Amino acid sequence: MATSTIGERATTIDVRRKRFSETYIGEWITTTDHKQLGLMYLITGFFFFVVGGMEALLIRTQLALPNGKVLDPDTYNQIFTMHGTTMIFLFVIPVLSGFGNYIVPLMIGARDMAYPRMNAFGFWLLLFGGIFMQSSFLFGQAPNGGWFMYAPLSELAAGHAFQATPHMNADFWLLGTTLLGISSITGSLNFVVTVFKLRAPGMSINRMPLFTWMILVMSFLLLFALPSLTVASVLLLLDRHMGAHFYQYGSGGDPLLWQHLFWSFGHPEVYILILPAFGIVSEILPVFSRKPIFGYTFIAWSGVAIGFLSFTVWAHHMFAVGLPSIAQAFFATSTTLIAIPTAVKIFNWLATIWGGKIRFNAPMLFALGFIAMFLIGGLNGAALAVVPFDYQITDSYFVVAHIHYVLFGGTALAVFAGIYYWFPKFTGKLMDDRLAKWHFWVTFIGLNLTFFPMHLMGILGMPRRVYTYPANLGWNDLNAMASVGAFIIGVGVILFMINIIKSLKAGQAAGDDPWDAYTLEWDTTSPPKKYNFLEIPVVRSRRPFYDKKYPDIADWKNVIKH
Amino acid sequence: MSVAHGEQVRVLEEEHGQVGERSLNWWGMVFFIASEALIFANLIAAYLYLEIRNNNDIWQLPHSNLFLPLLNTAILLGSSVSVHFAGTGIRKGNVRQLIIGLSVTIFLGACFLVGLAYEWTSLIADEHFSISSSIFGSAFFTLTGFHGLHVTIGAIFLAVCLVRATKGHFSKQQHFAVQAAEMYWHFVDVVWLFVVTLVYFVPLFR
Amino acid sequence: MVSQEQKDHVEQQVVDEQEEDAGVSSPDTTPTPDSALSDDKQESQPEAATTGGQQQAVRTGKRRGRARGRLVNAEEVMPKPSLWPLAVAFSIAFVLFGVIAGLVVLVIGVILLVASIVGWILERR
Repeated sequence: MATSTIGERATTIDVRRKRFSETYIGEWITTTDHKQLGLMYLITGFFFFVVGGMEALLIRTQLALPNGKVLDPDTYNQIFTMHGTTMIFLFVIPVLSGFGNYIVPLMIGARDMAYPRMNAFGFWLLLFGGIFMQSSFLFGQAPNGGWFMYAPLSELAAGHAFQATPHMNADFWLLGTTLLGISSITGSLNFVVTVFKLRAPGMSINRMPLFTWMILVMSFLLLFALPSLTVASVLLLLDRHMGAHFYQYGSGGDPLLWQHLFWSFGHPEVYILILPAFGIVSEILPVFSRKPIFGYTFIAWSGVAIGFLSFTVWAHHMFAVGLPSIAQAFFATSTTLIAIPTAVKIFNWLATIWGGKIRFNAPMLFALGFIAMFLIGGLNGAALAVVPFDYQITDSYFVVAHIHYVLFGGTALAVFAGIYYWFPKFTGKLMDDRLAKWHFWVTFIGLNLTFFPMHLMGILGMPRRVYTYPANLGWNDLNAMASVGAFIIGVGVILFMINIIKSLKAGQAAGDDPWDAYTLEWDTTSPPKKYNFLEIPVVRSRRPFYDKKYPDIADWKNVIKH
Repeated sequence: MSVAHGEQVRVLEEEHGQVGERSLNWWGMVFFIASEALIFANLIAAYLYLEIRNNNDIWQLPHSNLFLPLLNTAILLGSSVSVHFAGTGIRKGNVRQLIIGLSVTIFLGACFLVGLAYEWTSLIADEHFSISSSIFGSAFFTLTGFHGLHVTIGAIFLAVCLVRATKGHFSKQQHFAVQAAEMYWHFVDVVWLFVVTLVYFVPLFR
Repeated sequence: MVSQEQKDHVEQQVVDEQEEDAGVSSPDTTPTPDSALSDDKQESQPEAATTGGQQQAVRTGKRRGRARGRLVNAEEVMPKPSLWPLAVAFSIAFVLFGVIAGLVVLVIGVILLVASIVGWILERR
């Protein structure tokens, strides 16, 4: 319209149409804000946790009674493969990166991550990677070779005599993990540079909160371990589609090459999954014991030691394949060595609690549960490092019990602890503590009922991943117990979801600092403004917010050496 | 989580141009290249693992013509010099030197790729030596192919820089893309030294 | 919101830093693990490390008038929203799906990928 008056023009400027990035949906899908992305990571991770949990319930239903026929064998293979893959790649890593994304910049007093757009890129890659993997169910061709996709089970072997996986099952897994791998690489690049370069004035590297330390170590592990998986996947894809022979014994290749490459990624990977959980617990315990963390330096550097050692232990997954005995001795030794820094952490946590004024809120309960359960998982892990014992029970349910004590009893409990701890910061509302305690006890009982019997099943000879079992092997009661326990865990998860929804709708206002905490993320509003801090805080000790709240007894006044 | 208009935050003084201070992007590039280097380390480890498992006499190329790989090595090392020339140019603010250096580097990179393609086609067509013909074929084509892929990516990266340089995007202060491309190109060259040694020269000493 | 006392507190720090900068060239500017040891020696002057927080200033690339600390509009220092990360991520997923689904999907994916990467590079220039 050519005849618009000046007055009209002024109105159009005043109420100009919103840009896409200002609409509600547009804000979320174009965001480069580390807090929004962190929440998106957490929500996505939790969604896949529910998916993976349902897969677990299907497995336990199939195994509840002898000669079960709930699933057919091929579907069963797909379900247990996708259960492991989903939980590891789509639940634990995203949730931990979510915490890292939200908390680390706040903790170190930065306004955002180093590369905001790359941060968003990593998240979207994760989401599409997850959808990509799960969409394989729509084709009826979900990966079915186990979460470590051993060759030659995963071989297509075009133009060769055998076809172990003639369809696209393994391709979905290989390409999906590649996508998730790129996502993790961008995420960890971002963490490393953020932690190294964007710390607030005065926050030297040995004043960083321990969660930040552990995220830093995790990022280095991801950067240096994921290439092995990428290479292994590329070689397998070449085998499957270009007729290469890397994993085919008959043509001079070697299936063990897959195992070496996979586990030299896979073992650092399990520390990637547990180290940030250590960090979460190291943040929660001092706050709820009203004491500074005991042995900060030891906890931090034992994390680094675990990181280094984790690259030297991979072949303990392969004791049964006939390694030379010198190699077995080496890997058994290095695996036992890694128990030392881990035990250092456990003792430091216990010393942190010792003599503290403990408050048994939900985060503390989950953190304490973490220590107990992780200790069990760690101890039977050390047992698995003993080669003759490993010969007996490798690939049995004992190993399944071990991984679940470490990853569910360990990481998942720490993740719940973290959510209860930081939820007030995310939303400005407190979670219902009573319901949270119910959640804790239901989960705790459920997980022990599910996973403890698995030790016994393993010792009684039940192999992992079996489709079903006859009634006369003495495994019936234990399997029934485990299945009941799995459903109890499911009830716990439902309680948790109810709690989240209830607290979002009608939670008590939390205030900026509900726990009287020590670190910088509480030194801002809940939820924080986009820019986090009006002024970048200046750090003078390991507990900057404590110093600010209690200037008379501030750490930097009392402590000679920090 | 929206930002109200007019809210003000305090930013600290920048410390630009301080000696020894690297930019954020530089650090990101370093760690990215480290991760990439680990990909090659794993590939080389797989190559050596299979070499040790197999008989020595199947672990070499059907011909022993070293002329082409030596020429390619010379080309790639030369391109390292020229990309350094380009980088020094822009660090002094000389855009013309940058453009010349980048053009020469891209040309040399293309020559390298042509040489590689020529070698591949002659191997496949004349010697019937392919990725599926033997385990050494698989290892050889994967390792050199992976490196060739990285050269291609690096050349595209340089070409983007060249286009932007002709449009005047770079100055003495603002030229991180060039620096990153230069780092990446040097990295690709160093990797080639490992590849060429393992694939062509080690079999000579058996 | 920051209370007046807190603001005063930080102002005090700022003054301290200026005094120190006159004599000491700040030693903690490249905080790598190596510098963890030297940090112990610097205990008497904990405000010397001033590496963090200036990234926004670097990004905007302008000279600052005052010696230390400057009030700016919040929107100026925060990263701007962008749709390109989503586009690039989607294209990569599409390309990899093309590896399974066939050449047509693959070609479409590559075109999408190139377009979205170009979009990312050209954004905000």
